[in-house]
Amino acid sequence: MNVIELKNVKKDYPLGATTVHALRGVDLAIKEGDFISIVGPSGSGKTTLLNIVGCIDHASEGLVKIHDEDVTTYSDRQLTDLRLHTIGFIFQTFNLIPVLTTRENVEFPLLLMKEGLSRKEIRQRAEKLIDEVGLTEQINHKPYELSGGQRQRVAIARALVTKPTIVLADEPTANLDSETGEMILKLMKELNTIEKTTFVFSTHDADILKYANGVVKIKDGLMVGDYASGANAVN
Amino acid sequence: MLVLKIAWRSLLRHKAKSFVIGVILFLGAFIMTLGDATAIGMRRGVEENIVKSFTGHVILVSNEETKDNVLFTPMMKPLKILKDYDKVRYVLSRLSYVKDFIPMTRGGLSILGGQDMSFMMTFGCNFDDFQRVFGNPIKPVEGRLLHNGDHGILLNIQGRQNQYKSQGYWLVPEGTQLVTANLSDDARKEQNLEVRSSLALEGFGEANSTNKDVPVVGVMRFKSLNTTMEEATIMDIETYRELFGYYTAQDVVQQLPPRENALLGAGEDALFGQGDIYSSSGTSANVSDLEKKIAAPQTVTRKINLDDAAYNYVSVVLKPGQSVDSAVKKLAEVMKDNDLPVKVLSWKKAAGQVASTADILQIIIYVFVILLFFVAIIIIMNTLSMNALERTEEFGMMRAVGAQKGFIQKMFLAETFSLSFVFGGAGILMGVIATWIVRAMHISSQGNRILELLFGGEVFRPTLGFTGMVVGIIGLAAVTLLAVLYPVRVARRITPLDAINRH
Repeated sequence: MNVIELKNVKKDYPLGATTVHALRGVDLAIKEGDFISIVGPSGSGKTTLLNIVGCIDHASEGLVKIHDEDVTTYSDRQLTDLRLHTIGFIFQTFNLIPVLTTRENVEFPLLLMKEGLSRKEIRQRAEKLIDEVGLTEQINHKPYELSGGQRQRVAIARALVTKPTIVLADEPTANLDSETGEMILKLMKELNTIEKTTFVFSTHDADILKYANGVVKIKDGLMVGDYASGANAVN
Repeated sequence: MLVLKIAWRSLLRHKAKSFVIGVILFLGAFIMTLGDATAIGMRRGVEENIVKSFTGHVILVSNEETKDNVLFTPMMKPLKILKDYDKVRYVLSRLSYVKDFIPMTRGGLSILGGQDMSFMMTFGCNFDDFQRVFGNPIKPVEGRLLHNGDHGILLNIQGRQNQYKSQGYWLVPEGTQLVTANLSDDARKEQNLEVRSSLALEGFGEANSTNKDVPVVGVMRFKSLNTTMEEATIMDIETYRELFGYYTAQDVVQQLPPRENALLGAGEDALFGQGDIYSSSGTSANVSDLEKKIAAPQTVTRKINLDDAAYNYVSVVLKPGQSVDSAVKKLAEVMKDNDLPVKVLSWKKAAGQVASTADILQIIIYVFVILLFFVAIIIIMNTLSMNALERTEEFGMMRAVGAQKGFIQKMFLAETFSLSFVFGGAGILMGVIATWIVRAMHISSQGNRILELLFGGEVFRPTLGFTGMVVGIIGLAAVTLLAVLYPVRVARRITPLDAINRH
């Protein structure tokens, strides 16, 4: 079953008197449980593609479906709700709320949800994920007290705390040393395997592609070659 | 709770900005509280010292008066005689919302026999009644005060100095010695100071004004606002009527029917010869002429009722808690229902310039406070807008992980109102404390008329009641809300994409 489906998605940005064609007709279908990497040089349209899939940007043209629902007509409120319940985000740097501790940051999306989880359940779920990402000792630390890798791990825990079906990560290892980056990828892969969560992440680091079971190559706003999911696709 | 937690921690994280906005809110609230206290103190002072001590809340004048500014008219234009005062008195005495009232006269006098022609404002009344109705607002400085039945004038202590400058002689009450301590600087330097105890006066009446030597009975001062009232003199009602050619109480007695006069033992013909010279017209009898024609002292033993003759206006003091505007309306209806030729005015209209000066000063205070608020709003708005933009990544990230615009709005409002509560509250509290301190300092107006009106008396007595506090809190809330509206809009419009682009 496709959790993400894009048909002829185009994205144009006005830039002064000209128009930048960031995406020029992308077709893509991502299945549940995939661990997909989007690769391509800088400015190729990776981030734009992720933003559109993550419902934080609108396609200028084309169809975007999340769980078979056309989201291109959604209101801002509906899109925000979709992000809260269905999609988890891991950004490059601006990941955490600076005034909240590790635990509070992870709890944050759950507190935004209107569903009736008790305070105790929220706390238990956050603590379990924090434990899984190995930050129990830093549970009461504020972001400025954490290293870059630790912050990314908090962001992963927060992205997963609402049990989303899709997690999007925009170059999650870009600001990390290779050892920490690999550790983060391993963690993401582990959660993908255990929770069956679909992961889509962009990168231009060839070393981390080995973790992906599918690669989407983007160049000048177009997909290069055919995308196929599954371990063989990487090879 | 989540909103408040993030809001408060964000305030602490951005200490410098929070402090700048807080200080502006503190100063705004502080100045607003003190300004409000000044305005309230002034209003109460004016109420206490002008309304309750001199004008009354409502003034009744003849309906022939074309202008409302009847008490302190420029050039002391003569007032019309209030007709049917006996009926007016009857009606007023039956009204439940009227505490007390007093009939009075008001006019301008020219002072004769000095260096220059000069003028004086005077009010005529039954002085004992005046003191009773207004709670003894006039205090003697030299000589004595008037009593009902006395003839003479009371000079204002400051007005006497002005009179000396224009006339060249110093006035002391009859039967008293010169008090050198009370001499003005000019008078003290004078080697051959001329001292007199009476004034040659002539009234600016509409007809048949006359001149007369009027004895100075006393030198007085108003308990408060004396500088504002320095030109006002007070004289007994009968002397006033004589000077202005009004129909006097004495005239009334003399025009009793023959049978009643016979009972009083004073035949009209024997006393006055041609009785037709004393017509019933309110302004036709010339009292000086009358006095000359009276060969012997009156033997009339009946007490003269001074209220039976002419007055210009009636000052009405309302019972506590009565609205002046409402009383004016009700009184106008009552007078109309009783066919009385009376025009009903609020004290503000009747006092004209004095009241409007007080109003203008009050408006200036409020305009100053409002301007201050606008400046505060602009500065706070600017700082908060900058703050919102600087936090684009933070807000954008929150929106990306599922926070609705409303959450950002609540968080921003919580931050600003928390600052407003803490710093603005402290400003109001300091304003209250400053009000108490300033009040306790008894700052004097030093005889400055503008300051006297600004203070609502001779001493600065800012007052802050419960209403003032509530107005202050509402004002602070309004400023905060106005200042935060635009920044909230800015914050609400931040999208996750803005955060990514910014990054």
